Amino acid sequence: MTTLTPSQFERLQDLLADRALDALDASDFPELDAALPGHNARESSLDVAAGLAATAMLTTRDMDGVPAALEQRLLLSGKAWCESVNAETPAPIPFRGGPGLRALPWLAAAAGIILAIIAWLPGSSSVDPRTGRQRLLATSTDAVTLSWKDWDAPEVPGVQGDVVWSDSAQKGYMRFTNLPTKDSGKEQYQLWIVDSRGMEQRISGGLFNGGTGEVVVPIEPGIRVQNAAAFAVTIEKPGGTWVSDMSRRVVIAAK
Amino acid sequence: MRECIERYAGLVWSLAQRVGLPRAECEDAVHEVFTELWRTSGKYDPSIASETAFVATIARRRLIDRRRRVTRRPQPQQIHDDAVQSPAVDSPAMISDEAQRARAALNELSPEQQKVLRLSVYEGLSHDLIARSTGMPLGTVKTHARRGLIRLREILGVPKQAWEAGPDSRPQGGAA
Repeated sequence: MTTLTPSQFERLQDLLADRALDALDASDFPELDAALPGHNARESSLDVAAGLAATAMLTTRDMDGVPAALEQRLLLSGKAWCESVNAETPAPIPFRGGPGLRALPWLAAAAGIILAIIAWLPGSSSVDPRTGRQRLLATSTDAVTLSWKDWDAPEVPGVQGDVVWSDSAQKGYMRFTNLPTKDSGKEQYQLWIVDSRGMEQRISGGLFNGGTGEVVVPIEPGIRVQNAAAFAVTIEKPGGTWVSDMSRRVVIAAK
Repeated sequence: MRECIERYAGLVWSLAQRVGLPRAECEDAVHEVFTELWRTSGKYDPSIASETAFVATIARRRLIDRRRRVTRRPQPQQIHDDAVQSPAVDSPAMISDEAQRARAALNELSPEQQKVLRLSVYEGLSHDLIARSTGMPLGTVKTHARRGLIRLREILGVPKQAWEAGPDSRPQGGAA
């Protein structure tokens, strides 16, 4: 067994401190590599201290909002990760009320991702959309109803209907007539929820395929919607897109 | 997932900007961090660090790696005198109890250690640039940074891990 002298140990601590502060000189890398093989794949206690220091130094001015498109992207890639975990893990991971919950909050959170994702998948609600819409209108004190209008020169003209949305319930329903059915293997309709800051601050509200007669589609956004100001529908590729160029417009409903 | 992203996306996004990445790089960088967080979530050990510390540690290391790949650190002409002379006067962000505790711990360091760590960690300056900006000798800057960070670890009670003392080795006399 190799035993470090106090000076050798102190030198290692200095090198790890330099590494944590991104201050290693080029000539120090070989020394650290030799002393701690594989260190690059590990976080040291000094990395933890530097991470906490960085967090502690942030000010309210630094904490500006995360772009909505990025939040959406994180949710979608998290969903893909969950699906891969599900594929590899036949048994569900117990995370609510289990004995390990307090001791393993991060694992619990990771497992919780799976259920949270399932909860926001379009169509996952067990309530019939028509019933859900009526119930929302009857029980919500802040639900608004906005009529669809043709959006500029729409690719599908003449679509009618409305959107019901409740900020407090974080749910809503779209109702359409004259919305042709799309072949979901070729293209789909995608809802965008735009907040009061403008069209650049939008998130996806879900994908749907239209239909004959009156169609009611639930809105279940993946992230919290703040101050929804408009709802817009575009035509996108199957599976939708994170960032739309909004060129294939259908309808819009605005407060 | 929603809770996880709501709780930490703002932190990681802010760290990405403070580390000096170009704005255009920040979104990809934050996405890369979260991918890493999900991939390594099984490594999380609450006996070593809080969840906030785990996220901040992974984020900072990945962000620094990315900065090395895509950009250079701030150059002298980009540094404001205010950044060197005095800390930001804005209110501290209320991120977690752990962050508040770290803020209190930073206040226990010597003024020189606080200054050097702030310029390094918050302003993203290299030690060489800190030396040129403050007039301190480079060796002094390094000493303040190292001793300050090690002292911070002690105050916060972050446990050293066995591998930090070398493969199959233990320190003599408990020096740290």
